[in-house]
Amino acid sequence: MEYEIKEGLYYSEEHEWLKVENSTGIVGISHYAAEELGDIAFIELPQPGKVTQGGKMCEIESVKAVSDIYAPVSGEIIEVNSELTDSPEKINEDPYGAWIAKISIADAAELDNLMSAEKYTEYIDSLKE
Amino acid sequence: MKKLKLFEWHKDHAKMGEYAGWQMPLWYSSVKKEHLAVRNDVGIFDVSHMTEIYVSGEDALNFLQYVATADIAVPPPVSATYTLFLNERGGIKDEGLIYNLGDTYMIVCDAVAMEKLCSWLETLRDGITIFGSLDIDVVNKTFDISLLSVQGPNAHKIAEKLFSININEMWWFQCQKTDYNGDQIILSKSGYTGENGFELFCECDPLPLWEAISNMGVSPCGLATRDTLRVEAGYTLYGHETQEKQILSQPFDEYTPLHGGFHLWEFSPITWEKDFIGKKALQIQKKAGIDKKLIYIQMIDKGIPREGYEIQKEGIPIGAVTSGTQSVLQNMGIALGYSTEGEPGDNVDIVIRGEPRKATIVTPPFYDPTKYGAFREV
Repeated sequence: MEYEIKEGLYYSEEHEWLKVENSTGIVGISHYAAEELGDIAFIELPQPGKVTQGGKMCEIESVKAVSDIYAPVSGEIIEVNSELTDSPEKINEDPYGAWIAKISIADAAELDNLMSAEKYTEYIDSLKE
Repeated sequence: MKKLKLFEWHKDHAKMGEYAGWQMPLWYSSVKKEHLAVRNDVGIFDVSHMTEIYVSGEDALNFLQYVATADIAVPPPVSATYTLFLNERGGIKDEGLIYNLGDTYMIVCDAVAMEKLCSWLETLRDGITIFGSLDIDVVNKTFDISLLSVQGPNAHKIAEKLFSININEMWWFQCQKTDYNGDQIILSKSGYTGENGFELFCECDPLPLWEAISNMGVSPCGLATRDTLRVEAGYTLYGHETQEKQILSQPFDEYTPLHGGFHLWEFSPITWEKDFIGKKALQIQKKAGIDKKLIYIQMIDKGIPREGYEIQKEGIPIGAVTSGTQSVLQNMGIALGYSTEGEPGDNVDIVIRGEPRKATIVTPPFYDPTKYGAFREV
C-alpha cells in the first residue's frame, strides 16, 4: 500500500505531522498512522496547557485499539479541532486536513529533531521491511 | 509464523496482523465498510486459521461423547453440533463444532487452542486405549483444510449461484457435500457474525473459489471485522469469555459454562443426561451457587470498553470486561464481561482511563434482531 506523505510538513517518529505557520505549529497524524490505526472511533482532544516534545498530548481510539498522540514540539496548546469530537472519521478521510491541535512553538530549534517529508518516506519504508 | 494458503493474495490487498501465530488479514477496505457489507449485503472471510481435527475409528463416537459437553449422536450426517470441551474442573478448554461427516468426525475450534486441544485429545486417547484395543484416530487437519466464510443477508444468493444449494432450506449447522470445478467441498450453514451464511471447507487450492466469490460483488472482510461482528452478535471467543486456567488452581476458580450461562440457553451445548469430562465439577458448582456471570454491556457515555476494564456499580467493583469494541451499527461502545451482579436494565459504570463512564446491561445481540441478523424479518 502506498501512503501519502505531504511535502512541506515536519514528521515525528510517532507519525504526527506538524505544519509550521510563523510561530504556530498545527498538528495531525500522518496517512500511514491513520491507515495503521484503521477506523478511528473516538478522540480525546488535548486539554489547554503546556506540552513537551515527545510527551503525550492526547489519546485516539480506533475500533481496534487505543493509541497515544505525542506533541511533536514543546509549547502551549492554543486551539483544538473540536469538530473531530463528533466526526473523528475525518482523520481517516483526510489525515492532512483533519488537524488535531495548534501549538504555539516554544523553541524553533526543536524542529531539527523532526523529519522532512523525504526522511519520513525513508522511515516508513524501513518500517515496512 | 503460520501462513494461510491465500497469504500472497491477502498481503497484496489487506492490512495484515498476527493472531494465534498466524499472519491474518485484519481488514481490506475498512472495518466499518466491511462490517456494514456483512450486515446489509454479503462478505467473505478467509478463516483457514481455524483448527480442524479429524477423529475417526470405531470408537470415535463414544470417545467424543466423553470429551464434549453436547450430545453429538443426535444430528444425522452430514451436520454439526455446537459443543464445549471442559477440563475436570469444569474449566473451558475450548468451544467449537463437531461435524459428523459420516465416515469421520471433524472438530472445528479456535486457532488459539490448536496445539492444546490436539495434545489433550491424543493424551486422553492414549490413556483410554491402554485398557483395551480401542479404535480412535486423532489427526490435526488444520494445515490441509481451508475455510471460507460467506456471511450476510445476501449470502444465500451466492450459494444458489455457485452450488445450486438453497441454504434457507437448511437447518443451522446442516452441511452438504458438494464440489467446485471437480474439487470436493463441504458447505456448512454456519458462521460467527450473527447473520445468515455458509462456510466452505476444502482441501483444494482455495484461490479459484475465493476469486469467484469476491468477483460476485462479495466484499472481502478481515479478522478485525469478524471481531466487531461477533461482539455485536454477543458471541463468546476463546481466550476472552471462555478460557481455561493454565495453573493448578482451586476447583471453582475456573470460568465454567455455568458462569457463561450456557446451561440456560434454549439449545444448550450441555447434555446433562450423558457423562462427560467436567460434568461432576459443574454439578458441584451448581449446588454451591454461581458467583459470577457473563453480562452484556452497552455504553451510554462515549468511549470504548476494552478487555480488562473494571465494571463498577455505585463505585464498587463488580467485574471486568472480557471483550469490547465500538458497535458499528450503533456507533457506541459495547462489551462482554463477567460480573458478580447485575441484570439487564441495570446501570453500571465502566472505568475508562481512570474515569467511570455510564453504561447499561442489555440482552444480546447488540442490534434489533427484527432488523439485522439471521432471524430478521425480511
